[in-house]
Amino acid sequence: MSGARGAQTSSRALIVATLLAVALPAAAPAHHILGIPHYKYSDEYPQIPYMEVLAQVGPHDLVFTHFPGFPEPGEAVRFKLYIRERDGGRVFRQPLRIEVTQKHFLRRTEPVVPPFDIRPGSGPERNDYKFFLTFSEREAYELRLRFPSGDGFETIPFPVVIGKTDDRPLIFGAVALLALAVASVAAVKRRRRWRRRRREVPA
Amino acid sequence: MMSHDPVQGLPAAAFWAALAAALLLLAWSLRGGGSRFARPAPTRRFELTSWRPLSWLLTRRPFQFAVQLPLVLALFLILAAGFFGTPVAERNFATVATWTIWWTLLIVDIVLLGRMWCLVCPWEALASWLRRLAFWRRRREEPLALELEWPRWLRNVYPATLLFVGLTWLELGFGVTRSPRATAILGLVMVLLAVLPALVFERRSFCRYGCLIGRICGLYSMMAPVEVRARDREVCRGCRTKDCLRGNAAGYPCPTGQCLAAMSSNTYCTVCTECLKSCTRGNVAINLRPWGSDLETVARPRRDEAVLALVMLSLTSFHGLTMTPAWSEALSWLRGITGLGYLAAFSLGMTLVLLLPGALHLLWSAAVVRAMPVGNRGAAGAGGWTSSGLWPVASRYAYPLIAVALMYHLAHNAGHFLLEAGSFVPVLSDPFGSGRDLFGTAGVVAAPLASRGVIWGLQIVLVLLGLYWALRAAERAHRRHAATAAIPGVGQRVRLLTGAFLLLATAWNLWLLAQPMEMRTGM
Ligand code: SF4
Ligand code: SF4
Ligand code: SF4
Repeated sequence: MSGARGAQTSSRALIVATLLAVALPAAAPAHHILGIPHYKYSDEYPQIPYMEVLAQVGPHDLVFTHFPGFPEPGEAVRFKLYIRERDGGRVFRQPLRIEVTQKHFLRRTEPVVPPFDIRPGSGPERNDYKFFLTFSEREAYELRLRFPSGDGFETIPFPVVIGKTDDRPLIFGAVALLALAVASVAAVKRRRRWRRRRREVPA
Repeated sequence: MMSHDPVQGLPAAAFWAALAAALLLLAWSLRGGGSRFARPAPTRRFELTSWRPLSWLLTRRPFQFAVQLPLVLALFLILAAGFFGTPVAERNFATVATWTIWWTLLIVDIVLLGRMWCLVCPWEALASWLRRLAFWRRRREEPLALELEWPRWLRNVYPATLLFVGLTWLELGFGVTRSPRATAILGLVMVLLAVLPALVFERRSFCRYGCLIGRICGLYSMMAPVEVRARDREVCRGCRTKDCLRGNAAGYPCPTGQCLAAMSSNTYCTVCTECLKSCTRGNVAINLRPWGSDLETVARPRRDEAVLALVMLSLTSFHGLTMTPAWSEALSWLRGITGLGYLAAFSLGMTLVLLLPGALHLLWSAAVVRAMPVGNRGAAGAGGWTSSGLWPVASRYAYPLIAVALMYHLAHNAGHFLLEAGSFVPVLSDPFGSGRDLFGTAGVVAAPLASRGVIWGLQIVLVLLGLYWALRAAERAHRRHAATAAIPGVGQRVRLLTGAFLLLATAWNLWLLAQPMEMRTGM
């Protein structure tokens, strides 16, 4: 994976505000990630999907997006993070630390680059944290954001999946195993029947 | 919306009040030499199948197929969504349907309906359809069944116990509940585990010995208020054909080798309804009965079942423990002092948590053996079974723990279900998390189904009910023990010791419920 790099990409896709509006009430305790790709239906329909994840930490709402929604290995992924207070809407602008971990299937999660800091863009209208990452492997990654909460910090995991794992060999393997078992059992039963018939035929 | 403050557990006042109530319950159970809990094992039954339409329905051959088919379709949807859908657990039908809905409702199902899951089980459906090459027709010979004997050394519930421990290790060590793909792989592995032995071995040996779900359900369903039983044992005594066991033109032989003439526990019955079809004397009934009935009538405790009961007690607690900050801290400490990596430390921690209740139970049982009335220790009961040795005592007194484990399991899962079940609404509309909106509900973020106060109250009531049933079962165990060991009674010290162990397990469970709990998809 290459390190973070800044770049200019116009954020033409809008964050689907309705999702924020229908999000759980502040007191709702459940741990939900709304990590669905959202489509912006505009003049340029159909748009490339975004992945959007909403999070809630203390008084803050976090909106995390990455583009494209389904990145492939080697493709630069643009990440954006908007943080504002739920009541009053004041924008959060402090530097934040991010760690990137790789979630190997059936192996433990491990960091893939040293943690790095992100800062919001300058200028009054720029309140988003923006950075780019390129992932080389088809895997599940997690961006772990260290965010101040109460007297300490909380780590918030944002899932990022690079490429689609091809499970067809696994499925074909299982089906082939079943077919083999069925064929073997059928053959043994045929043989048993044949033997039985031979025994029954008087010599 | 993702909230990273762990869900607050029971408030301190509620925890202490519940603990005090548990203590009072124990004291109450001890009064009058346990006479309050010593009423004869409940024999009241209400026969559901006396309602003609129900009995007609259950005796139709396509009945099981009809109730299994929707579940088979759901299984295929889970496999497809897990393999081809979004990897985000909360938005994938596979993870939400499996861990938030099924795994939670499975326990509710056991508490309310017994082993009804096995009646509709999609794995068993696939195994039976393939083995018989028929969906419901009774075939004289099952064309794809080799009918080999299940190995003698595997005729116990240890294979299922090992699978259960293995699944928990995978689930908690690798976060299978948070991975749609891993969930689908597990579903597929279960298909293979159910189908392959069904082709090779006699009857449904996998259901009888190997299925972890079946064994968990089996042991828990000793508590259940529903049972399949012979309507009149006298009729069975005069029955020479034993069609329920052997099958006939109307029904297949019992898949787990049960004969209704002798069946006295739900443990190995998969409620397949074949005996209702095959019994030519119409002597099979499905009854409603008081909760905990089988626990109170355990005549001959089995060591393998006792081990499974202890493993279930450990693992249900372990599930809860891993979701508390205390577990993360303990794991960090363990890694610090041993220098082990995450996985090794997790495995070590899990092994310790797994062994601890078993070791404690053995120690406690040793104390119980010592506290038994002097002079009768080691007495042989009917049939020459030495009932007062450590193992028989440990086995006998492991059964009441099933009630404690089940009700904590239910309390824990109820919390998850009431908080998280809403996520089923959007995934139904967008099972693959691919941006579709089949029913217009893909964007819905449902609120929790109950307030935290209601959930806490419910959890406390469930845990206390578990203790109540466990104390009742323990009292029955005392009396049976006294009868088999030919002693007048076990004495108040034994009663106090066993009660204290049940109280300890209950207190631990209450403490777990009082911890801040991380939410995740499923248990
Ligand atoms: S024992 Fe297992 S495989 Fe058999 S019916 Fe029950 S859940 Fe299904
Ligand atoms: S249930 Fe029916 S078939 Fe089975 S032993 Fe009793 S009478 Fe015979
Ligand atoms: S045949 Fe009867 S006793 Fe045997 S599993 Fe089916 S329902 Fe239970």
